[in-house]
Amino acid sequence: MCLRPTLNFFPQIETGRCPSLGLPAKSTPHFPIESGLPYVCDSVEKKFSICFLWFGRINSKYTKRINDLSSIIISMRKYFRVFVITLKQYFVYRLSFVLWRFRMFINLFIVFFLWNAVFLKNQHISYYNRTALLSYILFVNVISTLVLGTRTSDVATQINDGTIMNYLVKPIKLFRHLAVEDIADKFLNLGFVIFEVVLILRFTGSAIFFPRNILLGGIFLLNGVCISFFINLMLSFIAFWTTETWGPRFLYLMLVGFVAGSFFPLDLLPKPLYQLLLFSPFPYLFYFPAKIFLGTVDKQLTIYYVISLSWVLIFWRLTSLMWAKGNKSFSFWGR
Amino acid sequence: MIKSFKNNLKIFFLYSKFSWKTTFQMRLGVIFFMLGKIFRFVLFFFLIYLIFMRAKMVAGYTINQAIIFYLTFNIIDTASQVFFREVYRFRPLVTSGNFDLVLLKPFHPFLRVLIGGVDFLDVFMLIPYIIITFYLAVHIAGVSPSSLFLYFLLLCNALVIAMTFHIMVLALGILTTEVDHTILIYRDLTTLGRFPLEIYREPIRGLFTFIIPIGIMMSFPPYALFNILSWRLLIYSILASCILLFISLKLWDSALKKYQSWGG
Repeated sequence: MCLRPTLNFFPQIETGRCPSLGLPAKSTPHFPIESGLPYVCDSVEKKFSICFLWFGRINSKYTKRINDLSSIIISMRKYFRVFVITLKQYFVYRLSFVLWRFRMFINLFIVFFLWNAVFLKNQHISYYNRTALLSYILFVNVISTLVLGTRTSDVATQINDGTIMNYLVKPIKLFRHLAVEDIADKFLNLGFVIFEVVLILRFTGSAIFFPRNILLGGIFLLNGVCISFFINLMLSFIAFWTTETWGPRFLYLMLVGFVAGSFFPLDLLPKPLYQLLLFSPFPYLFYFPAKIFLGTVDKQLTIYYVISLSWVLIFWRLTSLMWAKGNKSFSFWGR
Repeated sequence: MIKSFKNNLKIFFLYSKFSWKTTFQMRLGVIFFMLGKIFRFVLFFFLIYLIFMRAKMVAGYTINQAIIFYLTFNIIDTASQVFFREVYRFRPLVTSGNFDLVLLKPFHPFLRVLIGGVDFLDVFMLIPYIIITFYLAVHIAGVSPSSLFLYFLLLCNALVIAMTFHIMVLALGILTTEVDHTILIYRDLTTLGRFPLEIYREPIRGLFTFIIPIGIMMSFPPYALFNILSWRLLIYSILASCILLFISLKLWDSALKKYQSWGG
């Protein structure tokens, strides 16, 4: 009774008739059909569409609003499916994912033990005691999973081999689609990284602070996630003009590891260098959220928030521009 | 014997020439990669400096000694990248069936799949590492010509161990077609040797010294340079590399016997 797409996003199914209602598409004017989409019509939507029909007959002035609501629901369903499919893809390649997490765990392991060794003979390093610094390292690790976890690097390959066309001909927004894929990636990685952090804490018997100011830190974190998303997209959009996209990404990853504060808190740097870095987008990726979770709330936090928000807007604009320009000069080798 | 060696050397240089040409076809990528590698080196250097600016000693080592550990890691890691880069490209050979063509050639397949793709970008990085290490080593108190010789000997030993790991990855690549993650896990594990092994607690330290010989590869050469490596451990490290070489070659032979050609 229901034409529900599973793994295949949008199979080319005949549209125009809702099988469960038995009505031709024309007679259900309030049930929007997006071009190219299958006529998804399960029990919930059936109820919706019946309600819409009923409402539509009673009072047409509400029709537009109801249509809007309906299209939002369908749109959400669409992206929810992208989310589920992305998760399923990870579970298909389970070994790859586990090995990837193992590699990430080793990186955390090295930095954690390095700082642990530094505190064996030192009580304080600058403003940090052992618990504070180890907490910072672990918070940054969790945050970096959320900020750096991305699938946008695949876009470069898709542009080069032309498979990006698959997105362009579908009734979906590419940016939203990629954002949902990224959310799924972050969601899955987050579960694993929390497990890894617990494992390290159990193994070493170290104590850390419980995160504070979660809401405030979360707001900064959201900006960090957006900045990273747009930078990653821009790095992929370079593929519109050259096939050599891995070099700039490699350079970016090398830079981010240090200037975003994943190996040490940035306020350990000499002050002029630290203050200069605050005007760059990097400290807003890991450093600020981690510091806020540690409980350090600076008086100038509003200014820093404005700076991070400005970077989000700047990168958003730049990404849109690159996408628009890139589409005009898009070419790919045959398929 | 000498003729065969000369022939192999000739083939090695031929493949290296191809690799040079392939690498420098992508000039923009080369620039970004070199910049990335330089940044990584400088920034880790800076991290060590930053730590020692705040703490005089870490795990019993001074800043110069910690830098020697770091440089030794870089020399071994980079040298193994220079020689064994082709291993990273082995999987497509197996899955496409083109490995058959390698096996048909009248020379040892290692010439193609193990050392057939010299990474020239890493050659450029290796030279400054060696110069800085030598400069620092002669400025550390207590370093004698014999300790320098032992340091060099253990660097070669580390490269043999690195080679055995790469051969094992090739063998696993034939058996399972999984190469990418295996080699990257090996590389991540070796990064444990970027800092002295003393920063890790037991049993991790023992595990990464005696079971997975990262310590032998990365930490033993600096120990020899600082005259803190016992003769017992020196002999153990050479024995370990010989045993690993034997095991890896046996694994390779056994993998070759089980190899089934793919594709058409």
